[in-house]
Amino acid sequence: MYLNKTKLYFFIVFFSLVSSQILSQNKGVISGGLESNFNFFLRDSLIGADDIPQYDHLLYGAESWLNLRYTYDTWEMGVRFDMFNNSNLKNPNSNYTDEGIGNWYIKKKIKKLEITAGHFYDQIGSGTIFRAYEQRALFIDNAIYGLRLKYDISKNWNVKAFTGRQKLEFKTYPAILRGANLEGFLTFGKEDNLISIAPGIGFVNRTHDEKAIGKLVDIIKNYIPEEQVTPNYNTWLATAYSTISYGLFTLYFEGSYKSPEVFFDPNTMKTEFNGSKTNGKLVKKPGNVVYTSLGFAKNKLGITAEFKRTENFDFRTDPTLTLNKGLINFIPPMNRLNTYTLTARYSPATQLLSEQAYQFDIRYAINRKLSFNINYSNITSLENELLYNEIFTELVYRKGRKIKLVTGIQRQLYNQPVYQKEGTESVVALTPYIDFLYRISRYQSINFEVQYMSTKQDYGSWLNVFVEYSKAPHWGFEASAMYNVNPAEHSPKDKDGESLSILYPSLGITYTNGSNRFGLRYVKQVEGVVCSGGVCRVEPAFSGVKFSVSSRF
Amino acid sequence: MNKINIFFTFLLVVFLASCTEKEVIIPKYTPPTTKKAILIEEFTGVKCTNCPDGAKAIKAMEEKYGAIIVPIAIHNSDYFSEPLSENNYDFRTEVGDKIFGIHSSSSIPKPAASFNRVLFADEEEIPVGPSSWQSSLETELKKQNVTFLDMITEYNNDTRKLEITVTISPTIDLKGDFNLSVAITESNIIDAQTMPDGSINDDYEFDNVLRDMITPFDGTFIGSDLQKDDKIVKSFSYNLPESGDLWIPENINIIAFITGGEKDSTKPVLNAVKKHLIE
Repeated sequence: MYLNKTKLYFFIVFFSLVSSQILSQNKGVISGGLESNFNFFLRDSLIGADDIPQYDHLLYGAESWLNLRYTYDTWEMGVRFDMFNNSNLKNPNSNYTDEGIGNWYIKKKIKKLEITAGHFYDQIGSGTIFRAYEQRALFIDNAIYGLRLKYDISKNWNVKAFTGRQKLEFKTYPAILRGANLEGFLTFGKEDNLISIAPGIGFVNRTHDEKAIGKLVDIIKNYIPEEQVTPNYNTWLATAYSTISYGLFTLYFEGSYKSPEVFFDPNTMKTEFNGSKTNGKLVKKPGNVVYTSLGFAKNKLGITAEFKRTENFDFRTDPTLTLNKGLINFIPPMNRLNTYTLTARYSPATQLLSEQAYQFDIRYAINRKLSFNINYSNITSLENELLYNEIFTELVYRKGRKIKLVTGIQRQLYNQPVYQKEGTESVVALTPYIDFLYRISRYQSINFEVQYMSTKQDYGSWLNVFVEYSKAPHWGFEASAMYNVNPAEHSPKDKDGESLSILYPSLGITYTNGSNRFGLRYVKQVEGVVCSGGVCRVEPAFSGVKFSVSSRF
Repeated sequence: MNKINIFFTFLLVVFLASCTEKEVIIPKYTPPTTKKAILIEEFTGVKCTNCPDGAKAIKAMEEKYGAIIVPIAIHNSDYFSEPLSENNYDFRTEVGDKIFGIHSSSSIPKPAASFNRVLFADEEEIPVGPSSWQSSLETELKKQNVTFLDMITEYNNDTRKLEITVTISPTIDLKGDFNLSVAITESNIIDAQTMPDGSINDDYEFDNVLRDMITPFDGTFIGSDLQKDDKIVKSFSYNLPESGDLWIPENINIIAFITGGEKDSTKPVLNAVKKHLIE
């Protein structure tokens, strides 16, 4: 087990304090939670669930996180045990094994000052210049390992500052990060004409180490002189933001700036030594993001409009990192968060270098039984290349507590060559859906969903059927089947190269007892894109049995 | 309150201080002095839109660094390597798939390339994407050459028989197990390729395509714990197949490389050499 001296000392202090509290009968509180996944891999070469060690010979993989938090008076301490056994979470195409203390911290409040040492998660504004967060499904744990100070200047104003390094599994990246954030709350006017403003400003700095600069210099010195750029040790980011509420309206805006830094731009042409041109090179440019949303809510009507423009805002702990590695900031996505299997099949990943997007969302309750939602989003590059376009409609009908019917249709255009580096044309899909929930009794309900995706691109058209029976408070049973009705170019093929219509079934059972939950599912899953808040990755096909345990205490 | 504001304003000023730094100097390019060759195994495919750029970048490296760059283009079996309906040839080979298996346990984004089969710091896989090619190459160029490697080829055009003699001599004592691999590549093959703009180029020129291995895919064993100045000589013979527009002797290259090391599961390449079949 990985355990360095710092963690060992922390353990000794943690358990000494906890033990002394227990012995002295003081009322400290220990809380925590467990999340565990156990995957049993069953090879299915037809759908592409093969050729990784888990299917070939390992057959089993697991990942688990156990959190412990101890609070007493103005003290708080936390520790988390992380475990990965032949896990495919880090890289869906490979196996990863490691275990140890994935997170620990000590927090102390001394009057208006709060001190945190160890790992911490935080963000400034909406996250455009800094967001340290965890997203387990995507193997993202960008905690900062360092020191954070927060100070309450007054009742409505507070300031925080931090310094540390970004976590990398059980280690840290070498770059030093530091930041500061000032936030406040102001009100103007009288009660019936009140304007409230929640402004904030923030700064972040990243300092490279000599090794990182040396790596960049090694690359740049091979560029032709006209294309050479000079890397900086320090990069600065600043943001200013505010939420303004007046009557029925709420306006949020944020503007962020990044000082010129060297980063890899895959869309800029590089002149090779022999004069040929290739895509992608290190460039040095400043970056900026503008994000704004305007909301209106009155009685049964809610309208939201959002706009975002991103230019060269890929900010990582090391600029040569790619995909979801080493991201320091988070730029909010600009499309609807879809939940049904087929309506969520094509989700656009936030483009960090060149993106302009807007979104409208209208919700209206016609009466107590009937309501609807219309959402429109459009994403282009700054060069006006269409990346994503979605129209989503939803009609909800409720009849008492017994029946709930949700239906609608979605139309998507998804630029697959840009988002997945696959295919040569955008996916255009039309997806009608229906979701019917019937409460049989106070404790029993049945949920039935059907979606049909019509498209000629990628895997072609799909039909997805999902049935779930719940018997509260303990049991849940589910079955689903996803069928590739009209297979297309990317669908699995037979020996003669003909695309195959394949059924992807799943069966599951869940048992809940208090705060303990157990799940057992047989899953056959097609390759697809998994996204969380605009951060996405391609997940390969899966075939096997998944057992999960979660608990809170 | 005012004192506190002054304190935090001061703190902010301190935090933001030292915004200027001494400029980093980019040294002038100087040709590498190493005699250690860099084997670049590029994983590519006819359906991969970014692969033509990858091939161009490797060709530029060849032209810039000369004979120390030894490229092999491997069309390992995956979606990107499935022949297009416009293709005349299928570049996938069984040995190519096996070599890919040495590099990665599963499919990877293309193009990707390995540099002497080294797993570089901060990388999860041995093959890396184009943004890391130059830094990987630079890292390898800084390493000491630990083996002398020479290859003599003789080819009989009438019988299409090829005789190869490889001489290996370590320049320092080497611990571990070592293998010698000999591969055949072919260049100047014209066939269809998907281009970066999504179009199909029917007249695309493929270079350095892996055609076969003369040794087993992971090489033939040449010894353990090699001593400095030991001389190991290995000979091979191979008959070039007759195959229409392919296997043209003028387009064939023979590549030999040594892999191995002490308790190193990735078995990096220590040195490599390339010879044109017909000079």
